[in-house]
Amino acid sequence: MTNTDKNLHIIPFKAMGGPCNVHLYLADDQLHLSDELINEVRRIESKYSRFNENSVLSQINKNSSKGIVVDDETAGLLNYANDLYTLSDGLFDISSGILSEAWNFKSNNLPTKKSINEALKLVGWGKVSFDGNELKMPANMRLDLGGIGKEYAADCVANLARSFRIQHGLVDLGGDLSVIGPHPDGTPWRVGISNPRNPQEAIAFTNLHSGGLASSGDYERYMIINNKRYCHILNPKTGYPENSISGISIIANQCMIAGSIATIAMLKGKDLAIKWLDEQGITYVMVDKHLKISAQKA
Amino acid sequence: MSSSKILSVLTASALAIPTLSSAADMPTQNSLSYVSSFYTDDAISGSQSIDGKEHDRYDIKVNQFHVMAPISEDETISFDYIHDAMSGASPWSVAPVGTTNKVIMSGASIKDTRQDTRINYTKYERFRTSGITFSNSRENDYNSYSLGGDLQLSLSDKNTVIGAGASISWDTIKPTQGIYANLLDGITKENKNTYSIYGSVTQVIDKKTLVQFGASTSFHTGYLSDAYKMNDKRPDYRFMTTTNIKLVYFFDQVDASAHLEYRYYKDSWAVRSDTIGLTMYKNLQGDYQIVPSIRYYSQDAAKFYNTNTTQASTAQYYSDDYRLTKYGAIGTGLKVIKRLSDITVYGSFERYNTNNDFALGANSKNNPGLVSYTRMSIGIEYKF
Repeated sequence: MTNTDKNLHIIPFKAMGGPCNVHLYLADDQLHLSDELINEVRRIESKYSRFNENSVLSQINKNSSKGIVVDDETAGLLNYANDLYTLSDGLFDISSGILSEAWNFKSNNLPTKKSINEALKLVGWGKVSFDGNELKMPANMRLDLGGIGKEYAADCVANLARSFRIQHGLVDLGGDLSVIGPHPDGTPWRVGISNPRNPQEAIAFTNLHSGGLASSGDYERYMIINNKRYCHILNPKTGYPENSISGISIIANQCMIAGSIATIAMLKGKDLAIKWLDEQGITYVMVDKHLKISAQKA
Repeated sequence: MSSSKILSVLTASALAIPTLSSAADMPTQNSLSYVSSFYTDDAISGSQSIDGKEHDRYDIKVNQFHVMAPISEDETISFDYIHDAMSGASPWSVAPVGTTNKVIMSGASIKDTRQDTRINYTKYERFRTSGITFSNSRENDYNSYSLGGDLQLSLSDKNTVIGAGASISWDTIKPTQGIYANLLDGITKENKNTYSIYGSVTQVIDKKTLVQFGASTSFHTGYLSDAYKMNDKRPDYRFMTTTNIKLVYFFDQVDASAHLEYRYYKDSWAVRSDTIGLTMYKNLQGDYQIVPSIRYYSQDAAKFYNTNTTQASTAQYYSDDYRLTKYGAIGTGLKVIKRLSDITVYGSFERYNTNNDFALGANSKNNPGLVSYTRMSIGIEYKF
């Protein structure tokens, strides 16, 4: 089968709370494989959804005060989250999801100090005991893979596609991208970076040959009170968002890593984030609250 | 750019998740290739041969087939078959005529074929690639079986790869008794065993630079003399060591990479050699790549190398084989590769010139049997 016999198929679907696409160069006898790729997204979504009572994540949140043994995939993700917590000095914390319950972004009212302090008592991966197999955490604490789940799913789909010998394609789960492989002629995928004030419009373009790109920004869930924007990315130490960055896109060898770094950068704030990203040699495009663009190509 | 601790730790951590850890480096397509080569030794000139006549040496036609197929998500099998058809003559001995050494050729044309078959199984895992290879090489007068295993470990960030391998081979020599049978060693069947190990470390320094260190040793034991040479009696063991360092640098402004390699070899026969080589890979428009290369080689003679037959007859070991003398060589090559979507074709030309005077340092050894050669190849590879 030559590459010229393969056509580009773009298959749209809805998952993980948003529009998704897989872009695949497939031969006619490979068309059925796209279903398996979409099923992989559904598998991860149902396994780690907060809203599905039977999900593995919900089981953990219900039962882990007594201690719960987790499967290998979940253990791998928790181990990754543990490394992320350590490397970010506690800024990336998968137990911080409870803070967004204190913040009701539809209400247009700021939460009270008291409600934030109450929520903060239930935040802190440091209070969790995880030995790589068994997880135990204080009662009422809850884990949420919101910061890495969708990006992880994008990488899993790309990896599964490669195992089906699909070599050329791109996975797009609500703007989080994982490359299966470049176009058949070797040219990279050309992808847009969203304008934080008009997310449907590109403010910049970049080429993606391999790896992943993930974005984070203050435009997904937010409220504006007294001309100040409060977004959903909340600091697990203070309970409040940072507001110096409007949007950031990271390119890394995995979409999940790009997404994790994007979240940490949002929480660090513009100046500290630029210093840190430059030091770490990370490729990024950052748009600050005045829509000024900074970037580094590693 | 400083080394990014966070990227390497997170990459290791992400790839440890079972769903993300499948073998991404594994070939995902079947591949089939064929290479045809023609190799020709320069003739021995009348001034170098004892009878004053020009003598042709070896011509070898090589046909090489290779097929590789993934057999599961993380395993491949490959099969190689090489057929060499050689004809010509080779130096039988060297004798002094006055103050210069002259070559005595083997006379009648030797015709032989070599058939080499090789089968390899490789398993690709998250941070580990391991393989096993079995091969057989067969000529009229020679048969060799070998078995080898190799292992490559990527350290967590995949910027460091450690390689190691070991092999063993069992060779049997049954000289065909030609017209010089009575002068030959008179052996009918002899054995030779070879045991080899190697290790290497490859380190990615940054996006443009890679460095590799390697070391290998091999131990040969058994009949190591050349049954087709008149004055040739060698020790029955040979311990060989090689160390090498290779630097690869990518020049992104010109879309080319340079591979600079130095190799040091030493063995228990006191043969030692230095090799330095430079190969450039330059990408051109239209999916062409050109690969020019240059290599310099210098070798010291074996301790028992001797072209004086009178002395040789009383020594324990002696050989006048041109391959054991002190000499130097310069090799130059050019390869042109064209990539189409599923097919890659290439042509290559190599010229190798040897000379006693090319060796490093003053040289009193002189062997007119040194061989210079030309090799041309064309190849095609199809991936599907």
